[in-house]
Amino acid sequence: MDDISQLFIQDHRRCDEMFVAMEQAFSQGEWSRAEKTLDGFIHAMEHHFNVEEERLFPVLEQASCQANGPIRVMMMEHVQMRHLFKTLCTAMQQRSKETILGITDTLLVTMQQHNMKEENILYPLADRFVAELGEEIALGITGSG
Amino acid sequence: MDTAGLSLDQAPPITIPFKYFLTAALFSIAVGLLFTLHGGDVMSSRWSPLALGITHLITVGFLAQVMTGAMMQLLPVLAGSPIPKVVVVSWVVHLSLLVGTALLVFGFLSSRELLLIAGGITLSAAFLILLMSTGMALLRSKSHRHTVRTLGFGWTALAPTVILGGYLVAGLAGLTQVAEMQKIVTLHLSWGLLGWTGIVLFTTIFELVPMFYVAPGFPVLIKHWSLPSVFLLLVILTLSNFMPGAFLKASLVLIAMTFFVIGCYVLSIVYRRKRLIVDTTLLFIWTGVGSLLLAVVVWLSGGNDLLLGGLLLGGVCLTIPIGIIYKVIPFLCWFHLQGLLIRREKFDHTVPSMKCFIKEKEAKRQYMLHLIALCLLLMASQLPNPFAMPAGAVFLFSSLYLFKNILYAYIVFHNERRILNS
Repeated sequence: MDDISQLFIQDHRRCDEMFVAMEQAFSQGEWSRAEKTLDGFIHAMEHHFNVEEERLFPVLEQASCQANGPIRVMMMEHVQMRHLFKTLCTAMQQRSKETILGITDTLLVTMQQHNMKEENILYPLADRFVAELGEEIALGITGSG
Repeated sequence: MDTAGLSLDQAPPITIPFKYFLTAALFSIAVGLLFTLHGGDVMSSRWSPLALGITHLITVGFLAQVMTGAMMQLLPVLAGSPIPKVVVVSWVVHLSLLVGTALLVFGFLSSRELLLIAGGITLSAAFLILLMSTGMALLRSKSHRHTVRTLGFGWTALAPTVILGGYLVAGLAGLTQVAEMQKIVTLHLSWGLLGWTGIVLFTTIFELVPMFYVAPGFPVLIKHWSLPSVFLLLVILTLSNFMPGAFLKASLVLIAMTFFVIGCYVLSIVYRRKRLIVDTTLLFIWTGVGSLLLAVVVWLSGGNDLLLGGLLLGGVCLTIPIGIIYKVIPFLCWFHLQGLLIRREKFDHTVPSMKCFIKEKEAKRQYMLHLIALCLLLMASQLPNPFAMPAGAVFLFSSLYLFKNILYAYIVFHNERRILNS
């Protein structure tokens, strides 16, 4: 069985690839492909956030008080990214390519620094304190749980 | 329970990186000014007081400011461990780096021993505080990632650089007799340029390139072992002073080859990136890595010192950090404002995207000026007359442009913050 870190890291990479496909569609001005890839990307990100917020964070918070501070910061950054998704959808409706590419650039850096913190600090804590959650997380991430 | 080392907050206030980056740009302007006025003399010899002054304006004035400012931001993200008492430490280190560099450079230019000594002492104090606080943050880090360890090697390399530099200053000021000056200088600049700058800069690149461009990660051998090997080779290089001369040459060749391989890998990873955009940061990275590869070829083929110095100082040290500044500053502005927006619950307001703080068009213009200045500088290393003066003038203009771009970002940030706070 994969550990929690590996499962979430794989999902981060999957979201990164969906981001790239979306941004490429925007930069080429292919609006119908952009709309589809944007939907897919936001869906994947929301799903990832939900697995973390509903399955991982509450249990990890109980298991280790070391995780409280990092979880609070991660939750705040989820709010920031959700705010960016909304801004992106609005810019998409206005077909404003330059605005969109400004937002995607911002979103990418926000995502990456967020992922780095999770991968360096939070997930190793999860592996250490709540390893038994691995199976449930795996099911959650693949959407079968 | 001990939760030290687990803070993921973007701890330092945004004024800290701005202060460091703006000061770095000011020192870069000073380099341009000196070069415009005395370019020909600078190129007369790498040992001229002017050349020494300009070298230290670049390394201690520009590089140390950028690397310290960036490190204070990056440590919480990379290592999950902020620098302790970051506000006080940043004030003290910034001020002593600023004053120390000015004293040292004036000391070189005027050949006044007292200024050299005062500059040496002030800079040593700045670096000591910086090393202690960075060391504490790295030791507290619960992260066992190789990146944190490699960064540790990079900052540790600053210690021998400063000690050897202090020894050389004491020698120049007549306080002591420096035996084998040439060897000590080689060690001082090897630890500074290849150790401290090389290791810290490329550890950062190993992290940032895959992140910003959704590129494959660097192979383990490169990411985990190449830079610690450089550190080990520098230790061997230092010890080789007590051994036959062949050791010294061999370890330097191995370091040069390691950086050549690292440079090739950076280009290869960038080439294989999934995000195909070419932004200004990437242009600076390409130019910086290209200069590094060229520097290795020039050095191995016995090319002249001035060309090598131009490539390393102008092409790498003054180039790659600017590319990083162009990503770090806009992101920090956005991140701080977005945090404020959430705290104030002003959800009807939208924080401008990163591209609004430093416009891509403006960053690219500055890059073009920088590139022209670099090309002229490399030509000036071969033909000081007529290229040195124009190289300095274009570099001066490019540095002013950099200062303007950073300042513009701060003004946009300041205005947006005022709106959110109103």
